[in-house]
Amino acid sequence: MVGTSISPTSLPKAASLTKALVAPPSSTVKLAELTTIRRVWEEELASTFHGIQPASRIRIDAYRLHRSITGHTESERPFQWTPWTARRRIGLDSVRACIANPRVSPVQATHDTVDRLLRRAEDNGGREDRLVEWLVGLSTGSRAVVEAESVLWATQLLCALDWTQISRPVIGSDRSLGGLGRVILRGRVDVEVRMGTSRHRRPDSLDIGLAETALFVVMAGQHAPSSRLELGLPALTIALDDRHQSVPTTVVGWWPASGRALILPVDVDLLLRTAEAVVEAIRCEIDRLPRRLHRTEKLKPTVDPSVDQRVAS
Amino acid sequence: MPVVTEVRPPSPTRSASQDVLAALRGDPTRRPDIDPGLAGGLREWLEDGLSFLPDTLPAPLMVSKQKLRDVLGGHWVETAGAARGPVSGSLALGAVMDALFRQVVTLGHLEDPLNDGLDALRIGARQSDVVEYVESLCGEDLTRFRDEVETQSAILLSRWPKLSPSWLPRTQERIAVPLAGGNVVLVGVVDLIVGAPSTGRASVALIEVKSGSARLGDREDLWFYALLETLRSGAPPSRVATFYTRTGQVDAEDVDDARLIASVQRVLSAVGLLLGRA
Repeated sequence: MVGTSISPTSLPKAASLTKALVAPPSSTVKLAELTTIRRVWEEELASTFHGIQPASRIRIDAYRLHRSITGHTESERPFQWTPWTARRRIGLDSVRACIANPRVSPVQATHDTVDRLLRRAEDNGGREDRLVEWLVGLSTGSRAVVEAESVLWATQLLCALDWTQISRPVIGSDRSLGGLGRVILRGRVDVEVRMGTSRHRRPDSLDIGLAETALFVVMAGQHAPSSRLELGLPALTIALDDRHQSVPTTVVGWWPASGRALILPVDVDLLLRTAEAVVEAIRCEIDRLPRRLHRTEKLKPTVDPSVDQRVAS
Repeated sequence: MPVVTEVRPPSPTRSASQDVLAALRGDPTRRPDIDPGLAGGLREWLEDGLSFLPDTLPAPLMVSKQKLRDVLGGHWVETAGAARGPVSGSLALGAVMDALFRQVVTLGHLEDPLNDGLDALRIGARQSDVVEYVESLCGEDLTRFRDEVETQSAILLSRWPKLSPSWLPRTQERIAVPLAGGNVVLVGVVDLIVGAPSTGRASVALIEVKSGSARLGDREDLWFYALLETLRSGAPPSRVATFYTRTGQVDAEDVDDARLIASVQRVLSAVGLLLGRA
């Protein structure tokens, strides 16, 4: 698993980032390798959940993966909407509007998005999602913070890339994937770009095409050693999902606060290491479950070290 | 310490907000081409100056404009955990006016200034001490505080110009530049940034908002933020400005290499003092 950084002094930065995002991949993970990774993943899950039946599915997202990798053991605060948790969802809508019509500014697009959400709440008589319920209850001063944070987020993403060089980007292309009915993987993708199609041979000798995709993720905070695996999560979520017939080739993570970017080619090593980290995160979550759950057997303490060898063979 | 600044007096032929807009814009023809080696050179200078640091510190040293000011002014006191001291009236006023400025830039209007400002602070948990302070005011103290907020809000609304959406205004943008392998992190939250990222010529302006009187250190704060933006984006901003909500005046200047170099020296001096090397 290797990655490269973009020099913060290469200007214009959006051109450098876009070039890195849409560059042809040096290699693509083969269908046979994807199949093996999926099989190993399912075996690991089966082993992890042996004798355990959690009351609800365990969700592994970037936040929980980060907690597991960095060893944060304090109890997790329940999710609640704040300007900082709402800004991405509103900001993605704004970015879509700005790209569809370049004359629309992030301020206007964000205001329109919030207005539309509030109108929807009125039209639906309160039967709305939690974000809308929360927005409806905010005063003008509080709502101004939500809009300001969303404008900031949307402007950062709009300025990060040279959109004239990207063909048909998908803005906000998050993926979810279930596993054994007990796990949900959630991969956050801010921009997905279809790169082309690679041909693969199935075990039954039929040739199929897999869409190659490049992923762009806006990261919060600062670059850290755990960032590679956190960026591997959306790639793994797509790679494990055989419904969409696509294979990720590149993940670009970008930290607007520091201006730093990390470009990761998606290879077998990245996917396997991320899968190991995800399994470990699942174990952490299982350990947090109340003891009254149906737990009949101690978990294995570490990830099976033969995973790499099995795929390599 | 109050200082005389290059605040432009209101022009008899233009509205007050046009004067502010002109000060923010400066002379576009003077915006310099970006020196591609400048940001890298400044970073190398900082890295060299921090090379005395051990491989790892117990915790990253966070360097903000306030810490620079305190350390170089000789009144830095290490406080465990606390980012700032107890809330004062001026600190609370500054926090409320920052929130109201953000609302004016984003929504273009205020409803009830004090309530708008407090609601903005309530929604972010980090300012709960400011909210508690204001809520604890009563009688004449509360009246004075409310009057000051309303007076400054009226000045803000009458003097602050409506910005073109094409300026891409974004408020309270956080910048964090790690140095020395992450041992030192230069941090700042800029009240307002305008302008699209540089494509070869300086194109971004940074604006700070102050609710108090102009001080000598205000410009040094701006130069520090200009340094952060240069290190983050690779291009220095074209212009920096402080908008004073107490008077409606603006103090703006172009950014040049000398300001950025002065800021590098301040950072290195402050880190040296903090780590007992000066």
